[in-house]
Amino acid sequence: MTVKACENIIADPNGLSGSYECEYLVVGTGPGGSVAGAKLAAAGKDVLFMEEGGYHPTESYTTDISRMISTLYRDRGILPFVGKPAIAFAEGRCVGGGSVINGGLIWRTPPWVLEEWESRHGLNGYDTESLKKHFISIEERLNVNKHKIEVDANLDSYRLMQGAEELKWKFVLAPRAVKDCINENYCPTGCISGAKQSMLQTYLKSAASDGARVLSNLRADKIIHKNGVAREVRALVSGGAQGRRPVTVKFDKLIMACGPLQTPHLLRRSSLSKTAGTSLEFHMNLKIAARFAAPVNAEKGTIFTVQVQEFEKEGVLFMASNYRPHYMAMTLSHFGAGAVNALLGDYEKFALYVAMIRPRSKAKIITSLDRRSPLVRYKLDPSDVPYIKTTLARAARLLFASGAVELYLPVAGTMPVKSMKEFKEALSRADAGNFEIISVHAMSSAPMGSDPAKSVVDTDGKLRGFENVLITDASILPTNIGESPQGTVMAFSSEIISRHLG
Amino acid sequence: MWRKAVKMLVTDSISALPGPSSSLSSLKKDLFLASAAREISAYVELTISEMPWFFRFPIIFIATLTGVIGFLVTGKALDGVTVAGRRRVMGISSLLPLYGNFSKLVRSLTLLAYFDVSGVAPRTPGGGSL
Repeated sequence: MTVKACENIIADPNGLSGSYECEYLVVGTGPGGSVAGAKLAAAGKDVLFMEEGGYHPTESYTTDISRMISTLYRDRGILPFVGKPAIAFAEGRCVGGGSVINGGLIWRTPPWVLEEWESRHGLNGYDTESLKKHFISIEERLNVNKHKIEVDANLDSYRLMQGAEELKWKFVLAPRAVKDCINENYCPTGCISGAKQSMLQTYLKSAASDGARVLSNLRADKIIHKNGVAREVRALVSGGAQGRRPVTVKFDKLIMACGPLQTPHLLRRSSLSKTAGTSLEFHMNLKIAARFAAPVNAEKGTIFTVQVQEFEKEGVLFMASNYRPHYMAMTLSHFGAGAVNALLGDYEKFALYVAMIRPRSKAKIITSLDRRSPLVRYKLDPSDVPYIKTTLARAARLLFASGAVELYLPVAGTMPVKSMKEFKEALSRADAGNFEIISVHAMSSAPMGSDPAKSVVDTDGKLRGFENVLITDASILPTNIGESPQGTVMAFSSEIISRHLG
Repeated sequence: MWRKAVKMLVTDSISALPGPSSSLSSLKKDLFLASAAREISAYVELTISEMPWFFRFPIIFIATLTGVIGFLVTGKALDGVTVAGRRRVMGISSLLPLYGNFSKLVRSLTLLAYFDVSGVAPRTPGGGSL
């Protein structure tokens, strides 16, 4: 679908010329890139954004989930991390990046994470107090508010809250970047009501009105550099009548925000860094389908309304997940057609929940196989197996306390369980290869730090060895954060640009 | 040949699911299934075709082998085999390394796309109450 873009956004690949020049080139239009570019544009700088994905504003979104995933996600939402078990990883590839396809959660960085980054990685000036001004500005800009549980919606989250209350576990209403959310429940495939305050609707819009140009459908292929100075990016147009064709962008300064997989991939294949991508960290999501005795109509509840944080410091969070038959059927696929039929017959009594964990497992990005996509390989840390089992046991306790009468676990080879006794029996036979794990958060692939031997960027966000290259995406987070990283990425991006502008 | 193996798995996945309406005649259900299988297979094939080569090649290789096994076992191309023949082919192919990954990928994509085929998605009848 061709959509008319605003003046400074080139949405049609046929409209791209062969070369551009700018003061600042920002590669990537997700939260890290958008904040950086908007801040530079507001300071009067000549900014040009380059985005591999297409421009797809709200009016182009439909309820056809498979089509929207193909449109808005990298590799049509299929990008496995190779390991045992394989992990399905998904990330956005469109103007606005991950903010277009996530749940809009904006958390301030947990203080104990910032303290760890300061003491172990030397991140001075990134403490809770220093970042506060950035968070206040971001929250105001994105209209971040605690999502309410309405009388006729969000029953799945309400049940979760009841379960947490019964167990006396800590829970909070989640802060989300939404305006007048009407629980359409299409957050992961583009908010059809336009309620979610993605980068497309906020920072990119203001950057464009401050004169920044946005080139979509343009993939950065190689960074040309000499004597520690990056000079130009050679890119390839994707789509359009003229097919793949080269475009050159010359710049004075480069801001890299291509995401935690593509930033190290581009750095490595352009010989800007040898160590980027060698220690990628990620969250693991364990999805659990729960059947209740009475209807919960989970389709009428938006995602992540309530977050159970009782085990937050261990890196464990529980939330209601997005509910549509597509996601439910995929979650239940390892149970076979019988389970999917049970779901369809009892659709309004089912809900989908997610336990998000902060594993010790790390991944490596292998760049030499393909210029477009890296191969991501990970090894399951042995300590993660009991960690996953303990998390599932806690999730089962919580969901039974919430009123669930039957749980479908993300463990291949198990049957649905109706009690903690059945749960224990089911899990006793499971090994690592049985876990069904997905991930939507990766980070730390080009970590920031004060020690040149252990970090890819310095504490000002500068790529080591290059004066004119900054990195402002989730790659730079020193370790796995254990919470949705968008707020942290945006705050770090804002701080880096503040330091850069002086 | 690999496309026929994809279509076989897609057909097997959706034939176990309920159709758009229980009031449809069996002929109309068969027509619906055939049409849905065509539409979903095209989606799955395109998704596989656009994967990075290091995933695409092994998947296509396994799918092609499945097609060869199908021909050797049934004497027919995969799109012409009976339900029983399909089951036999899948049983033997499951011994191939990586067949499990191939099957899981196709079945997951099928379930993702199935509910976008007109008329099959269940809808929540109305809001609940606290």
